[in-house]
Amino acid sequence: MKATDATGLDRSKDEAELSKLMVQAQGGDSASYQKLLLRLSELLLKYLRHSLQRFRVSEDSAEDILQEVLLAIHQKRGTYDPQQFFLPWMYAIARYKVIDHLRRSKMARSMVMLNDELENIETLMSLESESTLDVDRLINQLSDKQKEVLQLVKLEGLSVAETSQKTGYSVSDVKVTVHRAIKNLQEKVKEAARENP
Amino acid sequence: MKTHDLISQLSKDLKPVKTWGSPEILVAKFLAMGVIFGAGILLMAGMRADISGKLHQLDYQLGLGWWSFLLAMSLYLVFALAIPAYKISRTMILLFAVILISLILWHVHALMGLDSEFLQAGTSVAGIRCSVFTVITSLGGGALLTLKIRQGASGKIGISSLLVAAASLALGGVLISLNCGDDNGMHVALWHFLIPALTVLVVAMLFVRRGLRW
Repeated sequence: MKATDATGLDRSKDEAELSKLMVQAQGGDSASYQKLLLRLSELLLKYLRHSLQRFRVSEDSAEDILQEVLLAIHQKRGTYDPQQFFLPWMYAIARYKVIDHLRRSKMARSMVMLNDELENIETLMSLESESTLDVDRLINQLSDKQKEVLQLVKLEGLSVAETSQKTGYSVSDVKVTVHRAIKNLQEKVKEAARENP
Repeated sequence: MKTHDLISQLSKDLKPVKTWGSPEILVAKFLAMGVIFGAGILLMAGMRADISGKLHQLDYQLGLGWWSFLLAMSLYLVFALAIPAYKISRTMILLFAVILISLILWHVHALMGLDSEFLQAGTSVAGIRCSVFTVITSLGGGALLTLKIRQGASGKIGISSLLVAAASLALGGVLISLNCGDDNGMHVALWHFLIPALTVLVVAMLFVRRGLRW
């Protein structure tokens, strides 16, 4: 369910609620802040587990990174602008902390690739949390190539390089295919939301 | 500490915060601060004697203009990067690149057509005063900017450090243009631009980069 709010943004119900809670927290409302952090910790834990699994890093550290992300959100809460979407803001902070953790764990991947892969996870998670639809069902509506690549990346948690090896497509082809598949999915979610407001 | 305990602690200690607002507002605030800072510096160091005449010369206006545009654009980009998930348009990045290249070309243009006597005069060590002035004013402005950006959450620390360097150098560039009366192209390129740029870049890579981590 989506609605255009006072800021003119087309926000999902979750997004609008989280944004509202953050605005109240910026004003010093402790109860709203506690509610916000509890909801964020659920979302973030799922994201962190997914990310760590993707990079073949032990999920045991998810709780530690979650605390680091919550602390960062607390320290940087002044940078959230209510005129912007909340979830991308939160994921950008989480992504920085995940990359920081992976860098400390001596992950042998380029920062650009880490960034791209984490952005893919974020987009898929945002789609899932924004949509009441079954994202897996929507994936089945994609072209065979997009479906194959996205399923390897999303369901099997393979990296772009591993997907490239498994499918025989070049690394850049996999990247472009994932990018296009996610864009198509976003379009399909929008279409479905318009049909079932 | 368990996550629930952390959440309780953070909620209990919560204080109202002043929000950052948009990069455009931050740029306007910092430019206003830059004017006050610059006026203070120029009150102490003095303006060039021929300033009223120079302000009517196109070449001088261009130099001052490129530095001022570079200051505004670097500030915009560094503030935008410090706001998580803020979308920076390609036009802004392109504009920044065009301004930077134009500034470099403007310095190269000032060197063209200079005879060897002028080139020699421009390299005179006396010009070091201008480099010291530019570096000190740049570092002063850069320190204030770094303190502000530290409160933000830049996901691209390296690029942010370079932008802090560009903004700081631009502030120094504007001030030295208003302070120094030597228009020798070699003097300007070497002592106002090249040496301060290298110094500020080294400082940014050594200290600002570290200071912006969060």
